[in-house]
Amino acid sequence: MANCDSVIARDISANCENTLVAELENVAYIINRDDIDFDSCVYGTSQFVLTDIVLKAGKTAYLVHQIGDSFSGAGVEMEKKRFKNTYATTFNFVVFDNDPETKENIEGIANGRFVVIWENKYKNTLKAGTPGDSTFEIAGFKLGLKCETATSLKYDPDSMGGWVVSLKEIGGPATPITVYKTDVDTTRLMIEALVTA
Amino acid sequence: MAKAKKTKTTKAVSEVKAPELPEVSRFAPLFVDDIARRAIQKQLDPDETDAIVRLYNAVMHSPMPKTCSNCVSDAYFELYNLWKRDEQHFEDLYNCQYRLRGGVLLQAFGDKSKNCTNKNLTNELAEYHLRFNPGCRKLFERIPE
Repeated sequence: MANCDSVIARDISANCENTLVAELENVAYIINRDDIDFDSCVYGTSQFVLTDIVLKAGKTAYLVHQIGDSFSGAGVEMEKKRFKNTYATTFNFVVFDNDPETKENIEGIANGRFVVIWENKYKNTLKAGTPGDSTFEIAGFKLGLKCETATSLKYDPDSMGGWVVSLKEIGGPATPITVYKTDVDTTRLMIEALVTA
Repeated sequence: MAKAKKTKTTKAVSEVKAPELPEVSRFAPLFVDDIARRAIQKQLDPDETDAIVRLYNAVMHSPMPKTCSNCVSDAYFELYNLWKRDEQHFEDLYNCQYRLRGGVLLQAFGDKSKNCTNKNLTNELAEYHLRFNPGCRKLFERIPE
């Protein structure tokens, strides 16, 4: 087998016990990528599972709230490349405000690199062995999500002048990574503990 | 004879101890029906709101959510329930001198009661983990000297 050959190792079939559910839950966590202590983060059984996400001292994650379907567009898409295909991951949200503090935040969003942990509505709760391991995913962990667009349209009847933001990781070497530590409750505790300030 | 009896009575009274009053928690004045009622009705004074925010930050070791219209009320009852369930544990959380870094969850395998994040960290739990796993020291943001 050639170096780093990609193969498949299992059947491709629908999950009949845990039917797929679209969309994300209403709260996601956004972290400045520079605030992550990558040396202390721990991968689980494979490179597709993270069990520990640790921040540098004094740093915190922030919450992003969804109203309606304001996260709509979040997802991942393969990018065709000559030698090894990559993935483009997108996370969209709307900032329903426009005060000076929001503008300061928009400045940070426009120029920073971010990591986002989102909660899927599809949990895979009945999965044997690791129930609920499809609940949380982290996007931008490898390269970081960067702002593609940040738009405030005063006459837009949907956003009503709020900031419509699209973050994207282009050329990512992998799909968003699953976050799962022991069980889903423990994972949730760990993720909630990212918010410290 | 009568004089001797009187002396004995006086001695007996002095030996009777006054009934011990239950120790009142320092947080008790905040957790009373009047404040609870006003918390439900969103009619708390600014001083009370301030006290709840400060207490929440101190006990939960994390910022009080401020993104909803009833966050103060929710925080108040979260604290109230925690205090009512176990006043000593509430004190322990309030008095915790340690802080973990964001995202850290310390686990003791086989004993889920020892699992802790910043939210339920106490001095006792922090010292337990430091004693049995000194390597976790780097995961602490603050360790008292």
